[in-house]
Amino acid sequence: DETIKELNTKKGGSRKSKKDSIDIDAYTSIDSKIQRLKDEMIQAAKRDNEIILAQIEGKEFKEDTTNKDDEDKDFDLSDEEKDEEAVESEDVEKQDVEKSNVKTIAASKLVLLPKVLHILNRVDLHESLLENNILLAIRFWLDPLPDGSLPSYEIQKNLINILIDLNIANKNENGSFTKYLKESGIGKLLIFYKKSKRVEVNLKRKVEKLLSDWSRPIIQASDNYKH
Amino acid sequence: KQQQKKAYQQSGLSPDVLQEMLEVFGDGFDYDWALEAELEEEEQEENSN
Repeated sequence: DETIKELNTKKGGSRKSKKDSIDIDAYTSIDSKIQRLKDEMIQAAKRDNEIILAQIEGKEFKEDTTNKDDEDKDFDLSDEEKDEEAVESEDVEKQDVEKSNVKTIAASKLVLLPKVLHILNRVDLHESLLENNILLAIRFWLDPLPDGSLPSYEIQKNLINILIDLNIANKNENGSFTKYLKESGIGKLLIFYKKSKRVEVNLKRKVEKLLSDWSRPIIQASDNYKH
Repeated sequence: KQQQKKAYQQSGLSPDVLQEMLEVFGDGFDYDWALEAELEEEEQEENSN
């Protein structure tokens, strides 16, 4: 019973510790919690980018040699290895599965997404999130990948909804909201989403709404000065 | 880029507002590399069909 208990707590424990790594209540101040989340988001985006980059470079490098490699293996195997291969034909299958799933491996962001949404959906944190330039992390997540493809639809949909909920243009004390937009580059990114043919129609409408919500106060500000 | 500048100028916005808009939304060409990748893929698909 003791060992089973131990195993269970170990399992639970590892899961828990993973959660804790971005459990924002584990940090002293709200700001440092948000900074930590931001760092994790940016790291995840960079990891995904690196995987895609490696795929781009690997593809060009491997494409001609893949078949040759397989042939070579058959000739070069020692008896021992052959036996192993006979026993573990499963492994070959596994490898094939892995090969066909190459694309799904760049999923650092997707893995982190539920936790990110859990925090970004907390309206009580929105002000602090903006002040800590969370828009930069959101921009990293929405950026096209090195092969020009967009992040997964789940990421696009959820983060664009959060951009709407953040209600940035109304958080305009001292005209500060444009500062958030400039520092993050999110406005430039959304211009790209507006242009891209790969953005789903409903999402594109939301993007266009965001762009006009963000540009209206900038243009109106000058009107107010004139009058 | 010239076209974009013209479009901005024709919008009748003051230079200050133009500057602000450029800083927030860019000149519209910031992600051209990704749009080009999109076009290339499209062309490839068309060619293969």
